[in-house]
Amino acid sequence: MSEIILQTHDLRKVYGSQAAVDGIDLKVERGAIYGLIGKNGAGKTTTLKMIGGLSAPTSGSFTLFGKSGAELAEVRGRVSCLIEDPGLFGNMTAYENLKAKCLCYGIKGDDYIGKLLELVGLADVGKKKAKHFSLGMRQRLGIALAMVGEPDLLVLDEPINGLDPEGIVEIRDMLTKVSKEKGITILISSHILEELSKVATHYGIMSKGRLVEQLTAEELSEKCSLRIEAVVDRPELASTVLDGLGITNYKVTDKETINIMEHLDEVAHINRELNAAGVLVSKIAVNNESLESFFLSRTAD
Amino acid sequence: MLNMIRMELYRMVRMKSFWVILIIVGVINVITVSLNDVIKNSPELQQAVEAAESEKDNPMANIGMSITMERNEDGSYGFLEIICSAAQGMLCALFIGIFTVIFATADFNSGYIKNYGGAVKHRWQVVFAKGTAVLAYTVMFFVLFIASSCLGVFIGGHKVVMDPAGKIFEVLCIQGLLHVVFGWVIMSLCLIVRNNLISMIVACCISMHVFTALYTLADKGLKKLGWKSAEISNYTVSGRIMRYGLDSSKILCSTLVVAAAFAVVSLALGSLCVTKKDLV
Repeated sequence: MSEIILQTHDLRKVYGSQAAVDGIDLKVERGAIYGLIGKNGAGKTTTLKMIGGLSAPTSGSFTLFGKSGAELAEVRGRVSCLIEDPGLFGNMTAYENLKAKCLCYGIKGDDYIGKLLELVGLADVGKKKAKHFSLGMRQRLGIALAMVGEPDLLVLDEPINGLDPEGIVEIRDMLTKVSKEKGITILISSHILEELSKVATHYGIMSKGRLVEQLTAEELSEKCSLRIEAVVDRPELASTVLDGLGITNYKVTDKETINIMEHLDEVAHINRELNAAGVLVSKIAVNNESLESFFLSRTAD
Repeated sequence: MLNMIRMELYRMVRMKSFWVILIIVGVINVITVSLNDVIKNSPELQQAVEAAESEKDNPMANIGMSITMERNEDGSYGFLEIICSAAQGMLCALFIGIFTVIFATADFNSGYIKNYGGAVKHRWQVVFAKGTAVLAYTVMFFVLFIASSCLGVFIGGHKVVMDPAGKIFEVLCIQGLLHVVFGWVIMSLCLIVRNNLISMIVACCISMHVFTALYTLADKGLKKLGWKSAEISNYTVSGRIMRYGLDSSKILCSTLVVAAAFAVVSLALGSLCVTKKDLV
């Protein structure tokens, strides 16, 4: 199992009488791209603010790189974040915005800033004032700022907001690249599961301040793939029947459910064969739950 | 910490307001000082002086700024007179206050604080880095102010007579210190209320003696309670700025105590606020 670099324990944030985050326990492994997904107001941004050190939890705690409590100060510098809108000095150029943060981190050298600008596709507009940037350009500069100092954990709150389709692809590729090449762990939030599904390796689904489900990309893919879902009383016998029918791509997911990923147009035949072998089939149907419907079912009021 | 100070200094000199305020102050100072004779003899000013004289017996409080640069008998100006007239008139404090408000709140208003605020080891460092930048600005402001005043005197056809070096050092250091502390008080206010407008109004009100009425009211209350010589403004940084002039050596120690007290309290409160409050 990979090293856990972030773990929250019953993390809560209350504003007045309203709990924005209501006791979440999430785990992020090193090198993962952890997608935090939820509707607007689900508590994603508040959670990221607390992890990014911008906001203090009302109660609960979290461990970062094995440190917690007062020791967190030692590892704070290894976390970088882009929360909500990118924070930029409008009257300063992209280069100067980056230079200011580089100075704060003790990083010298124009080459470093040049490479960052290149990485986010702003090399040509480095001398342009940030106030003249489009929303997409601001977002890219925000990501470049978050990359200063090569953090071990990158916290990104809806980083693709405002980007054009081409920009979304570029940022997505860039995140995958930095995660793989530099081993940076990324915690990224979005309310669009479709977009997250193209980069994330792990997911946490939030609703009303709570973490309702955590799953890996494989588990999500399994849940949302086209398959025959059969609920049977004797899964072992059912497996023997399926083997006899030449079906190999299936999986017994729990005590009663079998997911069959092939022969999707032979539901009636499979049902008949199972019944003939003495397997009681209480439900059999093709499940084509999309990412969207999966998300909606988990976050329904 | 040193890196953060570097960042604050970098962004300070990259701010438009930094240059705008310095240039405006410099130019206006050269013009007003060089035209001192003309202004002094202008009928409008004479009327204003007469009006002010007649108001002296009026129970209404006078607010606003009054800067008088007295000339020596031979027509020259004393170096300390140049410094003290503007400093005691709260002109320097006004501009330092205005810049401090703009500077101290810029990263909170723009959201830039989110880029580094969460990663700093100790948040109080944010306040101390800003405080260092305010100190640097105050020094630059004084240098520019003195230089532009001297230039104005020369343009006006007069001479600047140097005072004893020890006295110049003392007054410059004390007035500089008081102005830095004034900047820190305004900076901490900005970090506590996180509101440009309120902070700016307070900075201007202090510089324009608007709080005089409040101080007087408090003095009256304290006198009724038995403290017969109560004078609150004597224990404020702005009060000391107005009092500390050419012959103020006897209040040197008490002025240092007032400055130190305000510095410690304002920096501590600012640090506490930045540490305890969410950054965004």
